[in-house]
Amino acid sequence: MDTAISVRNLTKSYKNKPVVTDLNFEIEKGSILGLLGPNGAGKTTTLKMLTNLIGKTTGDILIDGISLESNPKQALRLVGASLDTPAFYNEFTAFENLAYIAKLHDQISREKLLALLELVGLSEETTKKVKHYSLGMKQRLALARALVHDPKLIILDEPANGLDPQGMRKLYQLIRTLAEQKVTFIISSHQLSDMEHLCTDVLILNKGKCLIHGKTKELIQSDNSLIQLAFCDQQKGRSWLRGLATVEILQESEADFSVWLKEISFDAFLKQLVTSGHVIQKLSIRQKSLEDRFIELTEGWD
Amino acid sequence: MTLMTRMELRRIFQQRLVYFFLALFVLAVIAYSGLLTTAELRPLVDADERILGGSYFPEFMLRFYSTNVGALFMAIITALYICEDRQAGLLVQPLLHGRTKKEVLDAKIGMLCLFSFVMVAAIALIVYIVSFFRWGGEMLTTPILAQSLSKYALVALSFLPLELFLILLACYAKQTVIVVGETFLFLMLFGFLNQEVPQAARFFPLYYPYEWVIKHEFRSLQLAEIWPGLLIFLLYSVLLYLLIVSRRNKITFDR
Repeated sequence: MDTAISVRNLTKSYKNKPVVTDLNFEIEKGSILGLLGPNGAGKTTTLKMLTNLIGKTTGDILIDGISLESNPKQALRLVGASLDTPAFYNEFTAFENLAYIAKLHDQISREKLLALLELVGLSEETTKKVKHYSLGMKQRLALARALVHDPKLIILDEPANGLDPQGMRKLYQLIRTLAEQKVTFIISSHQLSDMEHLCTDVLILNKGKCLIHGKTKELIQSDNSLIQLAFCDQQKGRSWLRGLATVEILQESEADFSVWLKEISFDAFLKQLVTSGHVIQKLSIRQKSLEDRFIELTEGWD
Repeated sequence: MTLMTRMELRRIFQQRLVYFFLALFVLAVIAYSGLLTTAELRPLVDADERILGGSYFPEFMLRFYSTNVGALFMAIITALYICEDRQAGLLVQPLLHGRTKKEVLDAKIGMLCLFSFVMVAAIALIVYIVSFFRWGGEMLTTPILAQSLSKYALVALSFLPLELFLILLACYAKQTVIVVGETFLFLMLFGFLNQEVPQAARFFPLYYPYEWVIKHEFRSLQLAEIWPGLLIFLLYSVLLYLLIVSRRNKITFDR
């Protein structure tokens, strides 16, 4: 695997209280990792450690093989980031804000900055002072700023905040295009349905610990514990289901039941169903969304 | 001068507050000089013992900036460029682009110290221009000019330890109002100390601009009166800078 970032045993504690515990993950170049978790899960702390804004307690972070600890300058040259609400020098124009940051790097031309503004759809607003920008425009400018020095890894914290649906679509399209050019993304967001479609990989954090990490598709498809079921005699079927300690009825209607196979495999349940003698009208495995998995994992944690 | 210091200086010269303050100072200088009063009233202004006519007017006006006003103005500017930058999330931006806390703080220190000198120079320029239009070239005769200019230079130097103190304060106090409030309290405390225990006040940098500009007003300073002050400035500047450096990594840049 051509690794863009490798995180090993990453831990952060404040006054002996762990905020992030033993985090391990690797991302392939060109991947889009969705860093998900409820509020206070440790997402922002993780992102700040990855950008060296706060120090880690233990562990290693390698960006394209370069240690963030021993070579911070070299490693951070490969990283572009936009964290929290985007902050700008409000008295400067969009172009001046980019130029200000561009001066921190070597030889970034005026043409490149204008091209970046065009890329994020701000080419007609380059001379407008940033204090007159909407939050959505600031989000796009923040992305342009993160791209100024051609980073190989881009870290974005809630990049869709303040964007309208068209803005979100454009942003996600831009992320996909850049990912195709082998730029790697780590995105923290609460927009789970968007993340499901955008991210190639997902890492779910809760209380500072990694609950699950893997390919988005695999995480969604690997689970067949949620089924839709309809009996010819719904009344009898309901009684039978309620008598099973290994399953839980999540939803029921006149037509069918949504059932969670909590302590039984699908095959074992099917065997029980057949031997029970009930006539089945419908049986289907319900595809879990990322949101289902997220809720299931983060709620079940306690 | 580093690139980041130049960039910070460019930012500060876009700050409207600076021009507003200078405009207020211009108005004050014009009012004190009587430049816009009627010809009949002008001899009354000239007879004012505190101004001693045109020759010493630049030195007289220095008292208004050299002590509390200058310190409070610089406290506001320092807090704006450290506390407000931190609150807005701007302090971390250079860090996200591979710069270190040292580079960011050094740029702020460089910019703010240079700016405090520039402000004294700007005050001098305003006062000399207004004086010229009011009294002609009276204040430009050699001994008087050398005396007043040396006092402006000494006041500029006194801003070095003061500015470093304000930067240290702003690094720890997260809000502008706290920095300005604490500076105000500090100035009050020093004023009290200066009146009640002048011997102890000598060990503080703020004592010397008061001594040079107000206590020894309109007379030239002897070397023996200057060097203890310069020594104290140097000592405090080094001490405060080392304190900033030693605490640099513990200072929060994040909002």
